[in-house]
Amino acid sequence: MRWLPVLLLVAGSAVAQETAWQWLDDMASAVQGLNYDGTFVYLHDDKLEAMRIIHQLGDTGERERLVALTGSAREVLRNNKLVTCIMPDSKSVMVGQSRPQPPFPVVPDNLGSLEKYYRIEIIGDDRIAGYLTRVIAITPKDSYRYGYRFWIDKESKMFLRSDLTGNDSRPIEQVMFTRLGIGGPIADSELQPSLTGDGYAWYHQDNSKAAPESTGNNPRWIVRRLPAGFDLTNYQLKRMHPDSDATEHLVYSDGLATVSVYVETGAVGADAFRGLSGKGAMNAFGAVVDGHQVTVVGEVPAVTVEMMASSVVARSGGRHD
Amino acid sequence: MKDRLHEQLSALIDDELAEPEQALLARRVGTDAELHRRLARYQLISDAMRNQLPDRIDPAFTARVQAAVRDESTQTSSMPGSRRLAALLKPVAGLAVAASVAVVAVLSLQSVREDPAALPAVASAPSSADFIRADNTPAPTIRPRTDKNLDIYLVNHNEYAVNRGMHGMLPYARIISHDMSRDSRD
Repeated sequence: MRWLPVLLLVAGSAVAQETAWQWLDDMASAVQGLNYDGTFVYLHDDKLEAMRIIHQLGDTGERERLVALTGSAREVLRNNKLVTCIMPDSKSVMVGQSRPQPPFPVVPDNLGSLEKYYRIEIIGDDRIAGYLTRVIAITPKDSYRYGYRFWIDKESKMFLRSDLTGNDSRPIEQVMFTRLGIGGPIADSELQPSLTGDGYAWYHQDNSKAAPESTGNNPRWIVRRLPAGFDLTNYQLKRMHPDSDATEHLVYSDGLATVSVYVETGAVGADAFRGLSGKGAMNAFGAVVDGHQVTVVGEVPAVTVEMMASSVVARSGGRHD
Repeated sequence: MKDRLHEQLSALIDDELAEPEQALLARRVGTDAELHRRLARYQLISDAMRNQLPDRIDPAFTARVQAAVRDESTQTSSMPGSRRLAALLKPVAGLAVAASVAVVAVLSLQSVREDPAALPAVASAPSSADFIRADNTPAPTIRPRTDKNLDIYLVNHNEYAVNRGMHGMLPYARIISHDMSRDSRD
């Protein structure tokens, strides 16, 4: 009997986590499956921008339109996998296919493994844009990954706010709706671009000329120092430009955070990228290893990309030139 | 063949074409109107990039430079030659840049222009008295080649991120966001 409180505590914790994951799972379904039209602010790097999103799930699938309301009126239109980006500032329109996006499996198979590196919990209720929300926090247990917070509408399960947080729990990136209409019909005209693209340079993706991706062989490079829990989840040899040498792409993930390691197979030029760079929560670190450009990119803290980039080595016995 | 000629034109502008080839190319340009127009366009862009335009230019001229740069930047992406010129062109073509380069990358990493035959008119004489000083035109910001590569990597990485579905539209928000890059390089 004396173990009962402990058992109850452990079982209670597991149930609480599963419930928190269930909220995230429902949220992911809502983001893809609901009709909505809203305005949100996007805060990053001490900059604040406003954008409007219109999303529809109809008989023909998912359609979405995203418009920048501040600065140049850039637009992204998505019709299932077909993505059109209109950039008035560079007078260009890009049309192409996005990679198929798998539904976000918020309740991962390796929940037990994730719990070693993250604490996932419901931390309270809040009100955003007039909606009552439940707040879910995913907190990393070390300094090699970011945390997340989601404010999820209790009724529709749509998210109203999401924060990506650093080690001190302060937000690095925030998305917050200031107005959101959920569930109503979306007029077709709302999913049409406000710009015609007349007089713009049009770019079209040409799949027939796409560089072949190869996954057959083992990577010729390895990362010696990885944060605990990160494993190689994908490897490809691909051409990033039509006229460039092939690049090795190694993808590492702990089940939640993902880091890409790019190693260019050609010799590095005089303009090698060395050191830290980034955008919003994305960090990148460049290094030159054995005359090859190594670039590590991820939605992880700077310390993680730096540690990984600094420990890339050629596999013993492997060719790398 | 055309690509080879375009490559030679680019090398000529970059002062990298051997003298015998220069003479041959000059004769070819003299008899080929399209090549002549292309040479004029390359020269115009090159002058603009090197700040060798006259002190006083008319606004229409600026627009023609921009059109020429834009046009060429789309074509050089699929052209084997013009590497140096292309390196000059690309940062200017996307002055708002990071995002537009990134978008090209998110879509395919490879792009082709829909109508490569449609070329912008260039090099007509200024006809308006409404001149502005060239100094007042925004100076092109030349950014390292690595910025372009980095954008491509950032966007390519997004496609593989396990948690990208979490943020719904956030990857796209990043793309249409403005001036968001930061650096602390060695």
